[in-house]
Amino acid sequence: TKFWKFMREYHKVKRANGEVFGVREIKEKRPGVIKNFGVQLRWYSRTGPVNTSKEMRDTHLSRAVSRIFNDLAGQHRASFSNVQVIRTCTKDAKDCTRPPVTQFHNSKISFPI
Amino acid sequence: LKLQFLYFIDITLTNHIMPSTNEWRFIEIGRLVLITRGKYENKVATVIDVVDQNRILIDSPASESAWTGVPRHVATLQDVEATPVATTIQRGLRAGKLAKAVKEQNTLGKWEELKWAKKIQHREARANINDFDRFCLDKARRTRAFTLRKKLAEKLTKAGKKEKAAKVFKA
Repeated sequence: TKFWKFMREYHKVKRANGEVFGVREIKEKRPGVIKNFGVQLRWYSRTGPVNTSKEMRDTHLSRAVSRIFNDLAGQHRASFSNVQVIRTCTKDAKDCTRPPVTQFHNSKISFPI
Repeated sequence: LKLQFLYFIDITLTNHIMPSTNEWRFIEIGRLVLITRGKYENKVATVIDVVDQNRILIDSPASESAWTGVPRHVATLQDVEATPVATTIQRGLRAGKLAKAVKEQNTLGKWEELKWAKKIQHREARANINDFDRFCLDKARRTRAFTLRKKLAEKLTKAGKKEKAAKVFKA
């Protein structure tokens, strides 16, 4: 995990000096509800770091972020170690801008498989 | 000649594989959907919401029917088959109200009337057959075949085809 890396970067603690007391999984509050997640990222392209914000529609934040990692790997060849998630949030439908997400904001959605 | 060939292909394909556009079953909120793979195989659920192009949120609150009993979860469209039956519900309806709506609109009743549902039930019943019932079934099939061949042989002898009758049924 990136735990000690970020601890080292933001606090004066190294893995050698620190101790993990406990680990708790943050579970999704409402897993039965579909949310629009906005994720702010910093990823390293071949030429340098890039700031991006992406939107993903899913039930769980962890799943949405996983899919965004996969999306970056597929589209930009940015692997896991080259991506940093800065911020995540849940967005209302009216605040979403990306067409792949907003196209599903339709209460009368209907499509054939 | 090429046009005739293409026309022939068009007829054969469209007749059996492609339904006409007004028979298409849409994935929409309230659509009853059959789960074809996974833990809840051969159970039926309602579409509550659509996550994206490949995923839907489905739910089937438990009732006396064996078709229900699917917890609310995200299913991929690959593991799911849309049925001709739909319920009119609001997006994201909770389990209690969903059960009520399904009961009022008799969705499960409409599903169980379909030949599709009956075929699945028949298939499952055959798969879970008892050893004694398996014997009885086999005996019944043999008796049916015997009676049919005997009757056919009688018809053939009446029509004067004794050789064929002898081939069909040896007394």
